[in-house]
Amino acid sequence: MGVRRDASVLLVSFPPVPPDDHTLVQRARSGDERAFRLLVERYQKKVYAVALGMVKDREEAMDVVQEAFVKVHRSLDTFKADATFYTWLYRITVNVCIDVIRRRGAMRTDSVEFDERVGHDLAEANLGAVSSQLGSNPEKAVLQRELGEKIQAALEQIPEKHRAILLLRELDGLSYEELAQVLEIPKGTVMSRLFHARAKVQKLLSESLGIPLPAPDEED
Amino acid sequence: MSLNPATLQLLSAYVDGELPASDRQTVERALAADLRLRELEQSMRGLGAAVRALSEAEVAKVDFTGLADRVLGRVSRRPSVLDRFREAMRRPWLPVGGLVAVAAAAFFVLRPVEQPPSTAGVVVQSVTADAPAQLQPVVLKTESGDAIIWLVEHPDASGNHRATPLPNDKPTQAPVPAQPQRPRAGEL
Repeated sequence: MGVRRDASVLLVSFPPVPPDDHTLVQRARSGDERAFRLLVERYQKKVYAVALGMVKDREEAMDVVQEAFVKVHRSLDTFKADATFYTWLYRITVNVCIDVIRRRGAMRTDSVEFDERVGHDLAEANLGAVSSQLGSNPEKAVLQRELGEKIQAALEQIPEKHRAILLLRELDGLSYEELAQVLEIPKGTVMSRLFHARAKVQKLLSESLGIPLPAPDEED
Repeated sequence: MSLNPATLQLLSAYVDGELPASDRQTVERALAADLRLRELEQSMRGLGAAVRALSEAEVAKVDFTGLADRVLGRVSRRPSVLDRFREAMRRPWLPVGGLVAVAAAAFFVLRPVEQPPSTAGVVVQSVTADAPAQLQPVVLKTESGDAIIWLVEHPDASGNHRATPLPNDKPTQAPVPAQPQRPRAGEL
């Protein structure tokens, strides 16, 4: 907001309020390229971040972003007014990512054996060291190359469905309701899937950081 | 509150701020009483922050200039020949399959077709037989394997058209009708 004091007049100027997503979608539908350009520029970084987290390749991630926005443009007429634009965009993005991963034959849905013990393992693990590295000052911690690589490696080892939900939650802060819409799963599944995703990553980190898993408590 | 998966799932939702008030209070009481639960909470929050920081660092390296132009360019124009060629090269089995299909079609269209024996140019001028003459077929085979069947009177009274009898001297192609109809002129 800019304020200019004149001899007798006080001029107050407000920055223009950017149009919301629905307005831009409506305008883009009617052929307004500038409106669609604004949508792309508004979400390109977020979409790229999710795509990169999913496909783990910068060029492919950029291809995913382009493809997702092209699909969005071609499907503008099918977008429902009662939906949220970015949940729709993320759903398309995740689907494009999955297509890319399947095409290159790198599906890793079974790369990490999963069972309910993961939760127990996490509970029993000595996570003090992990939390001291991740929890106390994460920004500082991720500057440590080794830890960053280990986190990325852990993310790569979990199945796509867990990676997708973790990325959408942590990078974009989607609510459980929004995650359910994007991933087309019940809200209750969101809660358990997100927990399992975290549990797996934390367990993998715990192992890669060399923190031994203690024996279960006798009282348990 | 014990550290079982159900508790940890509640803790995960608590970290996300997705718990109803009653469950939130339960988790907070447990957190106050259990050091390991507090460590897990810290670890979950720390993981989220680390993932965000890593992602932001990666995104910061990328130049998004021109991305919107490239997207709009793709949606607003018809694919050029070059683009279609590139697309075809991504799926090489398409042009190869197309070529094979064209070659197969050309083969079937252009291949020499074996024509059935034609009667073009062969016209029966007249066939007569004196009653009660017996008609007998005479089969001639050409070098190409075609067969020409004559119906002749047997025995040939004039001797002009006596055909060489078959080796067994019996018709093998078709039985001789008892009262054969004479072919009319123009028919074979």
